[in-house]
Amino acid sequence: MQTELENAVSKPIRVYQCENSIEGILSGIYQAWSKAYGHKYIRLSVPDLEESANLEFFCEYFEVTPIPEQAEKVAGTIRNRISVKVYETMIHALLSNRPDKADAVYHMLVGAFRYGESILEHLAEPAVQAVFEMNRYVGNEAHLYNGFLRFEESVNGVMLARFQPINDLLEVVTPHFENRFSRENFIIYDTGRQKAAFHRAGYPFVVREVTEAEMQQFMHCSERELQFQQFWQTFFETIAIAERENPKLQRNMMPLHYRKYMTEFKKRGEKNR
Amino acid sequence: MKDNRVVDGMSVIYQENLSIEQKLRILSDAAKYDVACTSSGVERAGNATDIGNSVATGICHSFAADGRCISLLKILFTNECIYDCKYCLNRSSNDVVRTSFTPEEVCTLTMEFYRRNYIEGLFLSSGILRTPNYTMEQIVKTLRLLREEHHFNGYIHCKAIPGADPSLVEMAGWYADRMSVNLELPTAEGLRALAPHKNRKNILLPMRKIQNGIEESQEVLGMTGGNKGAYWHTRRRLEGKSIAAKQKEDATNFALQSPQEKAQLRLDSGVLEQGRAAMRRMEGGSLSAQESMPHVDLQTSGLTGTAATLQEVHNTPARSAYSKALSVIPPKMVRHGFAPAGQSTQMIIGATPESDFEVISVAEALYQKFDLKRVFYSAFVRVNDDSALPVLAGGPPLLREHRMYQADWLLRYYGFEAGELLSKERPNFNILMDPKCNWAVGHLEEFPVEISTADYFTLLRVPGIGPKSARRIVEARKSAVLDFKALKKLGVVLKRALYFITCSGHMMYPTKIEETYIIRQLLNTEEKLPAHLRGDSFTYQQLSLFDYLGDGTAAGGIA
Repeated sequence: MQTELENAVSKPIRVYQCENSIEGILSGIYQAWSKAYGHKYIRLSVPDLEESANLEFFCEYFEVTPIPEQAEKVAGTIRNRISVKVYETMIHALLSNRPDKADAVYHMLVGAFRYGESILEHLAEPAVQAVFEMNRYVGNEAHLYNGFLRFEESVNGVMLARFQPINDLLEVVTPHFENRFSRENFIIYDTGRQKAAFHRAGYPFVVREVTEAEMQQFMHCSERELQFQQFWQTFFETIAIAERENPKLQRNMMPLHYRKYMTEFKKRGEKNR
Repeated sequence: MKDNRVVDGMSVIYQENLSIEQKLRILSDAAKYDVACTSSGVERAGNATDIGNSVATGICHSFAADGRCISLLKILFTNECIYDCKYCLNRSSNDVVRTSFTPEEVCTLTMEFYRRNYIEGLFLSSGILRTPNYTMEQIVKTLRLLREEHHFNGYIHCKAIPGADPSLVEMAGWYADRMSVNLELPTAEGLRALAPHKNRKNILLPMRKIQNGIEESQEVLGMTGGNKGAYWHTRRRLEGKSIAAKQKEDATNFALQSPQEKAQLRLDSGVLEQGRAAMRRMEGGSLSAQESMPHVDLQTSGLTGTAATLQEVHNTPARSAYSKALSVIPPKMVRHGFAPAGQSTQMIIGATPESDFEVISVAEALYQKFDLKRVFYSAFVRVNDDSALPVLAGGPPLLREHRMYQADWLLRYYGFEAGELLSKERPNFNILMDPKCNWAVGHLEEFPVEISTADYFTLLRVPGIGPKSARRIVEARKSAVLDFKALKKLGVVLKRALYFITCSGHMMYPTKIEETYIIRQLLNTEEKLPAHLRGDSFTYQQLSLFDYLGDGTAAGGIA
């Protein structure tokens, strides 16, 4: 403990402050790594996700400018020299909303270059543990949204789904729906992050930033749409067994924040929200 | 508008001009007591011409007010039933509004719900309209329309109607992903008492037929599907070989056979495929030879009802009795195997007086003999006022149902056997404690278990450690010495596990390894029990009284 403190004093911790994007964090990893300063004295932070912007003593702060070439280099090295599985785990972790995600990924990678893919089994290691948890959370939330997402047919025939996930899931859930509804024109809209995935029948989907006003045109549903929404609400009511009513269990399985855009919790006949 | 029509010489009151929404209300209300709303067991990618795909893990799309998952559009095709099963809302003697969907209506609802991502697919069950054959025909017609005209590539679960012609059941199996035949009640006596129009043979025969069809489509026609259930995999792992090694061994053995032998082997695939692990153990193998075949034990024990059922299960002709299981040519658009997500069944708990031991033994036998993916248990809800039905004081026996599911998981994932969990002397689960804790406190001689050395299945027997955390422990201990803090991070429930494990030779706290002490500690931290079963002054001796009170006392809370 004492030597650690001495070291800290004699050699300040370098904190790399990254932009909250995969590109930003991978650039941060590149820049921190390339100085060969010593992994022990490196920390990565994502100021956008931190609640307070306190600076600490005995630290040097560096602001990371995202550079696409650097990010691509890091990504390529991980895929080629470590494994695709480690790469995918890392990407999932980077979509999390935890502020320590960049730091955990950095220190997991330090181990990964030494142990290869088996680093993912070193669950007693705090950085690996953190990456594992973030990867699991992102995966679990995406799986839930595969079920909880609701599409509404707008008057112009486009299927629109809105959601507001905790982690940045848009690119994680869209491939599932692209595969499932290859013949549909649909949009999945992340209302919190103001971006959307657009899918045209027969084409690969594209993601871009959107504005609320821009999305308004897809939010008017047809009469036919309202009818099926009502059918679904009827089904949802009758399928429950009154003798077994258990709202607590229901809430455990489907926490309230998921229900924001779900048809079955909408008022009957309500057109929009 | 009502209309008296004469159908097959019977006068039936029809409600005409019901809207599709009214029909949906009636026929989903009638289907809600069916369990098994699962969409798992088959992985199928989408394609350019069809709508839909299927995910092996299954996807829950919503949760109803009772907390049960909604994954499929669960409806009856019709509630115009000619049978008079006493527990059923749609029994022919009940005065309820009767209606039927048309195949086209079912398709519209399924397709429109599916593309809005309300559902993962269709769960089609039915009352018996006119005859079993006519009903099965309607189901097949619906599935054909859905698959071929509407290009639906999502998940379909359909019921095989007992007593329907085997070729109709087979047709349905080509279109559906999962088939199920309801066992209804655990014993044949129960079935005779409550469902006078059904018989055991008509239930077990289609079950066997589906099982054989799944195997044949995979082995002989080389189609996908036919993947085994968790029970089978667990038993296989317990033989001490990895699944991969075992499959390789099977493949090598199979390649060495002559064509005639291969043909014979296919016919006898009762031996090749189903419950091979169980067979080995029976032949004097490992663990506990005397319990590996429950029906032998039971017959001598006087539980004749269950014994008879198990005997029936055992006697239902194996594949060799059929010259060929499949006879219908698979429809052109079918690119997958026969019922690729396997089959399941369900039974009602608490309508008839079977003990937990009898129910769980029947389930075990079904897993061994019919390769079922799942057995579902449904707490009896008294919807009809019939003198043959029991009156359960606390409403549906939900806690008992919960215990059955917990035990079912122990069979399928943990490698427990029915005979280990219960015995004829202690035929019911302890309502106050989950079956695994209950087993552990009764077998303290096997504890404590050392985390750094115990093998996977030994870890699995520790309360608070499940398949996931056991797997993580086995992985993580390769690179580090695990302490209790690390175990907590790995997902071990320490409040249960701490009495049964050591890390590097030490227990978490100084603990007495003594039955009453551990039980008292566990009950303080256990899952929340219904109010009337809680109380701080309980000691184990007092608690054991509740074992004899029966399960009607257990109500509410846990499902």
